[in-house]
Amino acid sequence: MTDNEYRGMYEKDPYSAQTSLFDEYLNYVYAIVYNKLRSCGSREDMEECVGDVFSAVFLHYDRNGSFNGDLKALIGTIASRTAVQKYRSLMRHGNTVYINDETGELADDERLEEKTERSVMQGTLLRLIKSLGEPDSDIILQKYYYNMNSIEIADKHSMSPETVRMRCSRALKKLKTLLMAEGYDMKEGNI
Amino acid sequence: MSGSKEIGFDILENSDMNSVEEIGTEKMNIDKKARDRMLKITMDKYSEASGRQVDSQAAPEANEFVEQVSGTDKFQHSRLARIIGFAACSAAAVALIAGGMFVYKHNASPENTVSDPAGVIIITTVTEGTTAEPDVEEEETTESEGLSLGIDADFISPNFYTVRTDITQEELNAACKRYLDQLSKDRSEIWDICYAFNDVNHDNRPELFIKYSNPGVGGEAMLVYDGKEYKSARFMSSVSNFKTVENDIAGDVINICPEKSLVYVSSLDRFTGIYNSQIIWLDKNNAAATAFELNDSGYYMGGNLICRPADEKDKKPQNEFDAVYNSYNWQELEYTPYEDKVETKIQSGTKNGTGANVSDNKNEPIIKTEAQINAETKTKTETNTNAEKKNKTGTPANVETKTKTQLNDVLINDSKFVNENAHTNRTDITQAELDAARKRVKENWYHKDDLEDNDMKYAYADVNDDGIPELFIKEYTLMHGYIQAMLVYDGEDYYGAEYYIDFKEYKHDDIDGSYFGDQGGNIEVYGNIMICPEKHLIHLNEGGDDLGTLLKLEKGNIMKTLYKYSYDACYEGGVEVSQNPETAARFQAALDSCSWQELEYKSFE
Repeated sequence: MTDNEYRGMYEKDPYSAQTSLFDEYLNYVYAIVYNKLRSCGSREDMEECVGDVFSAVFLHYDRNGSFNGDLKALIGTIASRTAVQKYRSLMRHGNTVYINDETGELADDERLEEKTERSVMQGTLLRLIKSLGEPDSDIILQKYYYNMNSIEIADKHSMSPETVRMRCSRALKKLKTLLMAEGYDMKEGNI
Repeated sequence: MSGSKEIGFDILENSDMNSVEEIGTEKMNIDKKARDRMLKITMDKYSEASGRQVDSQAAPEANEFVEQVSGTDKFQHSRLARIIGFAACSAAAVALIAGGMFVYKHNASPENTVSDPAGVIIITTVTEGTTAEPDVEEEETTESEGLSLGIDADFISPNFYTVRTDITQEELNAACKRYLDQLSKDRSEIWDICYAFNDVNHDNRPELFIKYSNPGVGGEAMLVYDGKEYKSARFMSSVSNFKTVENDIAGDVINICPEKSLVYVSSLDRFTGIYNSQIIWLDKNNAAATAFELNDSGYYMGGNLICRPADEKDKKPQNEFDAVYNSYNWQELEYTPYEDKVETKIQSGTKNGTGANVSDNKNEPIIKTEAQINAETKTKTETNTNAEKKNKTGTPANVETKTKTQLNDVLINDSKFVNENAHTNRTDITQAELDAARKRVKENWYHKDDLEDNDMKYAYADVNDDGIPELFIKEYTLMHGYIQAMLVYDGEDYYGAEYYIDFKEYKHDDIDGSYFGDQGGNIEVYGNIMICPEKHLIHLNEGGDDLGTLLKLEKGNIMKTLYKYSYDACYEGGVEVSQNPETAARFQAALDSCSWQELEYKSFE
């Protein structure tokens, strides 16, 4: 959906326009929110945050009369910022130190090094997961990153839960082997 | 373990935007319920922030809980939720839940295509001082409008029904007899078949209840009349907040509350020790709405998960369900034995359960006037007030009173599905060596850290009689309850045993449906494993509708898949067979022909 398309729809029926935008970008926004809140937020927290994001997007349009350019980039930015705010809010009520605050005390070069290493590890893991091929790469992410159970995954892939378990078990073993070849051990505590 | 750095999936958190898209956008499981919830949250926040009210009439999908009842009332869920919160124990809540979902089901049910005035449900049970009145808005609406609201019907099951008004008791008796005759013929392993009629939903077409015993367990079931025959009644059961499955209204015990058109069905999960119980509201067209449910995943109200057990000992879900259960006047059904006297007894038309609207004159149509129904309902309500409450364990009587039919010849002994597991020919293996291998299994258990309290236990059993005991592991998981695994010894270590199955639709070049055997992995069952060493058999049972998988472990750790009966595939001897009661009966007979042993698990020291 482009800025112009949204405007056209909005003029006819604001609610329909908002619902269409919501449906088109829900997965994207949820993925961003999940990515930030996975370790600290409940499903309710994430849904609340998604609501904050879209509400902010709609208000942005109301104030400006347009999205001024790349709609997806704007939504991504709002989602990312909103999720970070939510993360901070949740952390204030928990015992965990917010990672950005902690890393803020590090010297710039240490921070950069850590960031680079993290980025390399992310890239490596994603590349290896991708190399498992479909649907195993999806199943692995859904099981171990999105914490979906076999039944939910099975539904999404039109497989039986038993097949999902089996594929997952096999794919995880393969991933461990691939990681070892790259010099990594799979972290048992937080796979 | 040569790697020096540890890596986990948490490293993917806070990825850059491109990675986020790659990881997630299309991989998550956002179902319609969740989508609607988030849209509602969005619109609430937006309207609050902008100071502009979003018109819920113009935005029906924004409010998933604006539910309409055909031709009658409309409820706002925000209020409904409060009412239910207050009156979870009241029949009003049930009526609201069930009634609110009704329209969709009758629109969505292709077999119920009758444009039946009786399909319009009128909620009249908003009582007990709830504050529903102000929110109830008289409004004529069409069925198509009801459907357009996208009401979630996940927890309503349509059932066969009839609009015929010329049904006689004689006709029902004959249908009952046909059903029981067929049941008796198909299920040779069951005995003590009894029946009862009761018009639970006051539609003047009595439901048929049957009760029977079979080896080890018994059961009760409810059937509905479709105008020709009695057919199994179904209901939707919640597996989780995101998943429902359809089951027969059948279990260890069934109680009824005709006063409120409710059926209580409960079964003890013998593997987890947890009751699967439901309170189901039956509408006049036999649609079954699962109003309250308790199972191992938690306590549900109207299909929504209210609370899940914090751990194995957490009784909160059970207590919540019990509180609801105890708020109704439940009746046990008064059964009449079937067997050889059935014809006479059924045809007499006098033994029709507790207060059924069944005519004494077997040729007289049993449909009654509204006034008659009201009068009878009143009488029944008074009677039911003193009804005895049912013990939920509900173990059928006379289970041991009859010798079961031995069906040793039904067991298939060979299979096209064969998997050769790791094994050893060594003859010098000591128990100390096996114990050491067992301890290594625990140390390397592949998902030990997924679990907060896995309570791992073990058992040895030499299923294939090769002198080397197989190792069985049992552990508790928060997500799946108890799971069990079987491992075989290869002379150095125990490895997860594999068996072969080939799902026709899920065949893949690299796996062929063979269950993969990571150490401590498969055979892994989210339920129970039982063994029959006498015949070298293993029964994997994950509960529910599935009868499970029956395996034979031969010497050399050769695993043969003899039977599999699951919701998505059935096999006998490695040959796919159709899923039907006959297949199920053969599987059950094969199970019954063996002496099954529970494994005796011990804690790891």
